[in-house]
Amino acid sequence: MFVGSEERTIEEVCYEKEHIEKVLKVIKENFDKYFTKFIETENGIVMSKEEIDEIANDIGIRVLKTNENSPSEKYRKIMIEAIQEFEKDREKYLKIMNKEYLDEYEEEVAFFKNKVLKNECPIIHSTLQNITAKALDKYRMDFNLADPAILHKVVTNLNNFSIEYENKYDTYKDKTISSYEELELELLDTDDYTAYGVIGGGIKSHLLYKRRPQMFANRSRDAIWALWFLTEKIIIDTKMDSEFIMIDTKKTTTQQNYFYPYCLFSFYAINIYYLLKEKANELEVEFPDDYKYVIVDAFLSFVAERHRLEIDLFTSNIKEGDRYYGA
Amino acid sequence: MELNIQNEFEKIFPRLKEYELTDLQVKSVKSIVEKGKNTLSIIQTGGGKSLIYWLSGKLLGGITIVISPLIALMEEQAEKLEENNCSTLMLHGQADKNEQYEKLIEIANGKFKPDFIFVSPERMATDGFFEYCVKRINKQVKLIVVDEVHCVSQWGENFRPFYRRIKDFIDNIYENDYSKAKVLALTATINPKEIKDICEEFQITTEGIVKSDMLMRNEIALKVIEEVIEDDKEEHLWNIIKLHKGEKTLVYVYRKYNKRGVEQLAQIANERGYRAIYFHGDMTANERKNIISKYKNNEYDIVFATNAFGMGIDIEDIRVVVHFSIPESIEQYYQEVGRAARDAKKGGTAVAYLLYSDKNILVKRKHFINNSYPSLDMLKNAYKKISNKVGLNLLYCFDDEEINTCLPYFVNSGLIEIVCKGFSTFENMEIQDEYLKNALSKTIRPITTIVFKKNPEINPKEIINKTYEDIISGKIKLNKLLDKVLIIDVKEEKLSDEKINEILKSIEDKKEYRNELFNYFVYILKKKLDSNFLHQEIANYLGVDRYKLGRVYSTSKGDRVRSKSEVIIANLLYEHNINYKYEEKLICGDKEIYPDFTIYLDNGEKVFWEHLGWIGIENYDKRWIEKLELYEKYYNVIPEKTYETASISDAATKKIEEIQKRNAN
Repeated sequence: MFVGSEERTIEEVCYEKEHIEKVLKVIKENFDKYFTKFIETENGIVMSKEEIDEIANDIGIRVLKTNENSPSEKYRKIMIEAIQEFEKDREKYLKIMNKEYLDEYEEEVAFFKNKVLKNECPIIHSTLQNITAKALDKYRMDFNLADPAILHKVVTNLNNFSIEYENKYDTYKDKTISSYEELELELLDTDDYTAYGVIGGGIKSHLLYKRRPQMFANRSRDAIWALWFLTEKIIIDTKMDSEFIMIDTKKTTTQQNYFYPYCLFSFYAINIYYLLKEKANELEVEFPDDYKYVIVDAFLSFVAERHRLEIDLFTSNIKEGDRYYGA
Repeated sequence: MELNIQNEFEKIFPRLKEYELTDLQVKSVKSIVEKGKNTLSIIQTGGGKSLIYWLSGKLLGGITIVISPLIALMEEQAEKLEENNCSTLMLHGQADKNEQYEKLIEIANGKFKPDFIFVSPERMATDGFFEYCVKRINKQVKLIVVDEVHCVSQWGENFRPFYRRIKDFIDNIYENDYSKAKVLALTATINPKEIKDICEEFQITTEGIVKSDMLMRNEIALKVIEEVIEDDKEEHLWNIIKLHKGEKTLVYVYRKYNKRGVEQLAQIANERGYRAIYFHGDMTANERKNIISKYKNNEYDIVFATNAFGMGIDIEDIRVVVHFSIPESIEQYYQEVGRAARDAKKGGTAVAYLLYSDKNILVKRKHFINNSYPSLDMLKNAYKKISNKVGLNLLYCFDDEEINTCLPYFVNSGLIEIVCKGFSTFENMEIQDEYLKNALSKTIRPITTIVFKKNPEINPKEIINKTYEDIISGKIKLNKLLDKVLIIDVKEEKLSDEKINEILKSIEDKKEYRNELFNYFVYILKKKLDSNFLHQEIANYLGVDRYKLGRVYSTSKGDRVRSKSEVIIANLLYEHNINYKYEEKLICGDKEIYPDFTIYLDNGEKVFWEHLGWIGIENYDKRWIEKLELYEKYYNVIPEKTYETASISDAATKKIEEIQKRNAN
């Protein structure tokens, strides 16, 4: 999509069933090659065989024969480590996404903003602290100017949404979802669940994901980039480049589309979960459904990491004052 | 003339005559002394590097300069040399400065001729007076030894900027005639690019590289433990420590402070009833020396150390090494593991544990390796500090880490030229020379004023050298010791984009290389090999001949053989004073075979002995038949044979008795 001054949407065609099926088809076609590397490199920890051969050649040694861990063992290990990493700071999010505490904070919204969100919410705290990234200066400014009452309201709405969603979850958790509407997440893309400039698509999804990783996918920057690469960067039906990226022709910048609707993203995320689960079944590895989007997140981060140089090249043009995160 | 190196050693060092030099030590000495080559000796930890330069220096006669990174190491070597009737001088920041000056003047005047001068790289790189004195008597300087030479190379993780100036020092004292210099470079661990870099730096040819092909330290059992959950790693550490309670243990942790740093872990160990201490680079030399001494004397059982606990520390009986942090390369890993069981020749063994998680791997890659090079901001800052103006400048750099780190990059890229080492002021000198007196009557401010401003046609090096000469001859009396500066020629006022890109590219290349080495190390670890196979994998990486990789078992004679049965045979031969060689090449026409044992009888006869451990396996049988045919065709013999049975000892003993009978006849 190309960006004008305040466009916050994608083309209508992106919501159409035929279009979604086409996108899904390309993702499925490319899934295997990334998954193979995902396992072979143990989620990017180890070099692939080709890379090792290249290194050995460069150093001037001959590689001895090897014994390898089985793919099943590797997949199991990746999942354990991803969950372990996920759980590290989860407690902090659960303290924020907590109805009782949020009710108390209603009387002290300034405290909620300046202490709880600013200092105790890891993703917001680290974004604010990242002084080397000039592009985040705008975020810092927006945060400082944001109305504390609105921030509190949005977080409360997100939490309530999550609670209500839990009540419905059992009815469809074992169903195979075939359309984004079935996920019933469109509301999350509306104003009641957004504090523009501060709690946008990325941060809101992260709060939900940390609360319930079996229900809500993490719509991170890397996840959107990953979808672009999984779709081979091709344009499918849209008039203005891929729906997963945002090109600002005036500023000549390219970023992941941080306006990408959560409901659509979630549909692609659940389909990636199906693919990952299928692989788990093939490899006879138990898939942790209660952490399904943790594994999805690990996989999408891996895909993005494989293209890190390219992503860095795109984002290196983003300057101070440009919107970069949390729109 | 070919020397009998062992004999010469015993003559020169009679107190050490019981010590038998290793092949590697002999080869290294021959390379320097007989062949006259600049030499790079790569010897595993505990392999006796010092004796190489002791003997080489004495055989060459004259003065040997030893550039050594550690004061403790210098002092230890100097003490041992003095005990062996060699004279020494130590030059480093903690020795008495006045005394050092007096000795240097005596050396320059030919009144004192020490066998060995030990100098720190910092001193060598910054002290113009020392350099001048050495240059004055350069004909007497027969050998320059660079200990821990891997510190020279920016391709490695132990690069030290001052080491990079060794070549300039050598060039200066020999006035760029490198053929006069003999350089002996010593190290235990070094990667291929470092080797290339060092050989180029010190003009060492391939023939001058002496490397052990017995790098494997199989007396150390290697255990690699991958933890999926990071917290389990610490628990495992305490279990290991408990398991080895009372044994001298070294735990490598590459973090000094805060959680899971050496200080905290030592504290916890003490709370748990162990006798533990920590060791890191921020401690003073005396503190470190004290700890090493107490550890050696068993006042501490456990040392939690960063990799500052390394070079030159020689403690025989470390039984356990634990890597709580993942090393950066196979070289570093094996070097640090190699601190254990230095008493291997006396039968000492050890266990080495490496505990790691995938998180450690990510952190190492992203932070430790990539952040160990100067950033763009640091380069810009450092250049601003250095470049007052284009042209000649004084540089007081020695305490400024930023400048020290960045200067080699500026020099490499031609932005800065180091004109000479010198001093900054003529204050505190009683000068008799009229010219200088006249010049100084206008100012006593720094040499910049005298030379750069008032006499720009004078080469600063000339006036500095003249001053040094006058100090040596007594024409100038010093009321206070000279300070140390570098006189540099700044070529560009600002760091241009072009130069920045050039420097950053060179840094990126080095980062990439170090990442390659680290990634290969991770690849090896992930193979989950047992100890012997891991040693072989490491030996393969370090360049040991593939054919020799299987030689993992040590014998009484000091050989390494391929199986425990061969150990039995070799030890029995040794016990019975039967002269033998293991796998000595035997030419059979255009082929070569390697008998397991070639026995030399007193009458000159040779007996070949083959231990057929795998007889009955098709490929093995085929190869054995081919070998047998060659024996018969070219030597008309059938070798002695033993087989893999439970009574190999008896069988071998019987065979030896038969051989002894032949020997007696």
